[in-house]
Amino acid sequence: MSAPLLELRDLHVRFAARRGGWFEPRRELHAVRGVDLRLERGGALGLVGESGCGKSTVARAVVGLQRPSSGGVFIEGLERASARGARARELRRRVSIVFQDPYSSLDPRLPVSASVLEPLAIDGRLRPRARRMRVLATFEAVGLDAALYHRYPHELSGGQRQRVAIARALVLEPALLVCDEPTSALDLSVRAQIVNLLDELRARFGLALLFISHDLAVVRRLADEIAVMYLGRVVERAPAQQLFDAPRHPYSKALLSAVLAPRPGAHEERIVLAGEPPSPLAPPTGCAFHPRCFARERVAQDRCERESPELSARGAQRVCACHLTDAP
Amino acid sequence: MSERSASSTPSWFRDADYEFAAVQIERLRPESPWRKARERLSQRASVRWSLRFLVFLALLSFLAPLLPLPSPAAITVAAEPAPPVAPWSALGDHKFVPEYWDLNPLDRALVSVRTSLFGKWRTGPWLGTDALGRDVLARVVWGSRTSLLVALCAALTSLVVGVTWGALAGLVGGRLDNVLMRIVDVLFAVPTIFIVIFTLSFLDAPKSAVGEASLLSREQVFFLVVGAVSWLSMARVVRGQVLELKRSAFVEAARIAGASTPWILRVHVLPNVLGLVIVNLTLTLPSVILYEAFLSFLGLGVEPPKVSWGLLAAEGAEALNPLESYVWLIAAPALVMALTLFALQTLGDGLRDAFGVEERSER
Amino acid sequence: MLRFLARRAAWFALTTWVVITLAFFLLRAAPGGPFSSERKLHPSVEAALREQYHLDWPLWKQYLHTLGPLNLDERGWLGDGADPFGGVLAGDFGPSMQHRDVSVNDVLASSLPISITLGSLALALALVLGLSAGVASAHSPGSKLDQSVRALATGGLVLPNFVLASLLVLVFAFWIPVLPVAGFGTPRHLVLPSLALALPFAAYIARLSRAGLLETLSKDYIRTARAKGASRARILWKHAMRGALAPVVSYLGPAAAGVLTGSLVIERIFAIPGAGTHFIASALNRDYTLAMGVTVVYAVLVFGFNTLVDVAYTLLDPRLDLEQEA
Ligand SMILES: Nc1ncnc2c1ncn2[C@@H]1O[C@H](COP(=O)(O)OP(=O)(O)OP(=O)(O)O)[C@@H](O)[C@H]1O
Ligand SMILES: [Mg+2]
Repeated sequence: MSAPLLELRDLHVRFAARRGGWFEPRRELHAVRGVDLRLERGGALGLVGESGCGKSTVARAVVGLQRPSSGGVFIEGLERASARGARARELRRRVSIVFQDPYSSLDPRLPVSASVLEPLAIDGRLRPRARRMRVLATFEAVGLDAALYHRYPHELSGGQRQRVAIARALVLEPALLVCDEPTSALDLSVRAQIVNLLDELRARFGLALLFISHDLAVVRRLADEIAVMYLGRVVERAPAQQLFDAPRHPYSKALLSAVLAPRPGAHEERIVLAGEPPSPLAPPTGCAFHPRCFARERVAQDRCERESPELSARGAQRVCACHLTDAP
Repeated sequence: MSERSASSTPSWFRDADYEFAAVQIERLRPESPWRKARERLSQRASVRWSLRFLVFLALLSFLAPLLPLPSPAAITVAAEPAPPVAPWSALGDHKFVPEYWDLNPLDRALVSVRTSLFGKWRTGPWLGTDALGRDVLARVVWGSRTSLLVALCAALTSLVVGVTWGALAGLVGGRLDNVLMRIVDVLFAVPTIFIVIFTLSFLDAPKSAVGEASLLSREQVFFLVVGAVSWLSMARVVRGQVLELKRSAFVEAARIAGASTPWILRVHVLPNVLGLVIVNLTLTLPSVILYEAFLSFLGLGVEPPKVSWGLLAAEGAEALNPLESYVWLIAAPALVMALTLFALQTLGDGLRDAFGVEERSER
Repeated sequence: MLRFLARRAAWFALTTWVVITLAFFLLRAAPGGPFSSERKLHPSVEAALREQYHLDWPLWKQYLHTLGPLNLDERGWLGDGADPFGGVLAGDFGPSMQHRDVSVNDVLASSLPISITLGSLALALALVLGLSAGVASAHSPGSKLDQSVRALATGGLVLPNFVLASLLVLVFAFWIPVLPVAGFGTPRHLVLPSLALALPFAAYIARLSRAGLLETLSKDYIRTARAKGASRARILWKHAMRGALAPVVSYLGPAAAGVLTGSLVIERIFAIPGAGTHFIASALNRDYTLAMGVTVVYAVLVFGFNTLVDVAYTLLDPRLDLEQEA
């Protein structure tokens, strides 16, 4: 079996936090604290978690905007950070990204065609005429009217702009498309269209998706597998259906109960998490989730306060990091 | 769905289907945002008139030697300033004497063209004469050369030094940014006028003390100094904008695609900074013209017999007294100066609206 | 806040040092010296003078002597009972080189209060005139009042201040002789100079506050207040003023520096014996010590005022964090 398309091995990202004063110690913000993920060709992995848990940082590390502090990002078995020259160029072709805000992700002074053309021009592989043909082809693929070719971003609607951003991401025929909350800046009606488009592109081109979202309904629609992040760690990973049917980690349970209408006959009630998410500058000891964990109250275990739980298998395809749900 | 490996496989996209469309679409010229801004700009009558006035002024000052004006330095032995005379009562006479300071070759050529065109004919004292019998109109026209040159010089330093400085600080960031911006901060905090006065007063020292003639003329130093103090706000504004751009998602997208720093500079940064730079220029120019007037008043501007608007206004201000007010001596230079600055201001406001740049007070 | 002030103090030290050093070396680099422009002195007299003012010392020693705080003067180190501390850092600018027998500190003590009076009066006037014009103008945009305010403000911005001063003198001293033309002494003497000094800044403040007011007035919370039936004047004063004041306050720093520069001209026109007149004369006469004194004092004034403005700014807008600003 060849190497997976994307593999994260014990990925850590630390930021130097602003020092309070000259005499205070240098502090660091540990935004991603050891993430392992795998994504096969054509697969779709959803990444969920509350704001500030490090999802975007993972995405930026995957596309090479953020250097890992330790651990690595491997694309088809090649390490991203150490690749140079032609190999780095090849990696750039293989992975691209769609950002959240379609208003700031397009240069206001360039016609949208130029934005889509830019990666081709930098890559320098096709001749100018062929580049234009390619741009038109991608326009068609993402459902953009060729009449918008010469328009400027401010003349387009949010949905159209996001399609342009997707076209730009596709123009080099990547194997993996990272989507960092691509729908959260859009109207509800447009949201569904964009989700459908991504699904369609995935089927059509065998594109793999790393899909980040707050919107669990969207993730459920698109992703085969879902990873739940909490404070820089993956706390549970499971096939989408299994996770929605029976979340194992208390945090996943809380997350799901917050958005999904309780199914008729289901006995659990809506779980509301107490307190604010902890600061990544000063993570709690032991299990990062323990100060807000509701399951702990019932079982009362001080192991949670001392020992950080590892990801361990729960059945054939899923893993979970929790002391309380050790039994499969 | 077949799995495709690396890059050698045929494209997803059937590019060939779009060949015709690709040819067609290039024929439709895109409407650039610059043209849009220009259209919005020219819709305003005030902006159109300001622009016309400034162009007219620039032409006038460039072609000053060619015009049938009395020479600006020709002194007639007259006891007192003479008031303006209406053109219809004194259109002109034939008493032109070519008396100038050291002109450059181009201006000398223009003067000789003027003599061959108009002979000894010259315009009458339409704006009056000063205490030395020099024609005020001629002096105002010739004086515009200094004032506009100062403005041009400040514009160039702002563009070259200020923009480069700010862009470098913003783009490279880190330690270099820190050093560059601290220098700007200190220069802002140092009252620059003192440096200006020290520098300019070098050349005011008695000749015996100076000994050898200094390397640069007083005027050259004057221009250097004005240029040196005018780029600071440009550097700050540009750095701020570049920093903002550097963090913007579209620049990140370009970086992901492998764009080099020169590429990002050329394709994304420069076009997005340009509007701001132009607007900031229209704010710098009026203040520089006023600065020239200020220095001239203190006797630190151009040296007589050369003229500038500031010098003329200062002479006019000095000539005011309770018994006999020679109002035209101050009114003429003050009025053209006011008109010019007003035109620049109107143009700046128009540009600001056209480019959608906000007004902010810069330190 | 304390940390902000500490940072500011560090900046202040740096800036002052840069100013002193620049002034020192620029002055020495300038051709001629304090005694070269007078009647030709006898060489022995000049040598004696040079020795008296330590101009015979090597440059680095002169620099350290000027800088202080230790008095390098041979009499300084406790000999003769002279002050062991001297130099600019100790607040002692030494004797003036042109006005013999007078110390620079004395010159400053007699002229600086005059300049500061004039300057603060002008700044206050600019603020009062500018704000009231701005408010009046924003109260009913487009009205006759608004239009004339804007025209006047433009006038204040497109003319050099000495021209404005001349116009004022022409009108209020020559045509309608109600005020003195020049001089200093009575409050009446201060009216025209401070007005001439204030007008350009008043004009800009009027512009800033008008724009700021109109912008805040278009915000949602103001519309809500209006919908609740508050009168326009009340809204202007109670709600919009705070938001509109911020740009004006941050403009006060540059304005103060501008007033200082402008006072060089105004003091000359109105023959006011302030520090500004000394400045230009001392620089041209190579009065090293006096020029240094005026320069440093002006730099300190500008810096201090800027710090005050920043503090005032945070009081006005508590969201702004001084730590980040410094
Ligand atoms: N460049 C940076 N410098 C310092 N800290 C950063 C930087 N980028 C992100 N962080 C911090 O890292 C943490 C994770 O941020 P990240 O943007 O990855 O979260 P997120 O899960 O994407 O949140 P959201 O859902 O709001 O987008 C946050 O605490 C954030 O403040
Ligand atoms: Mg995010």
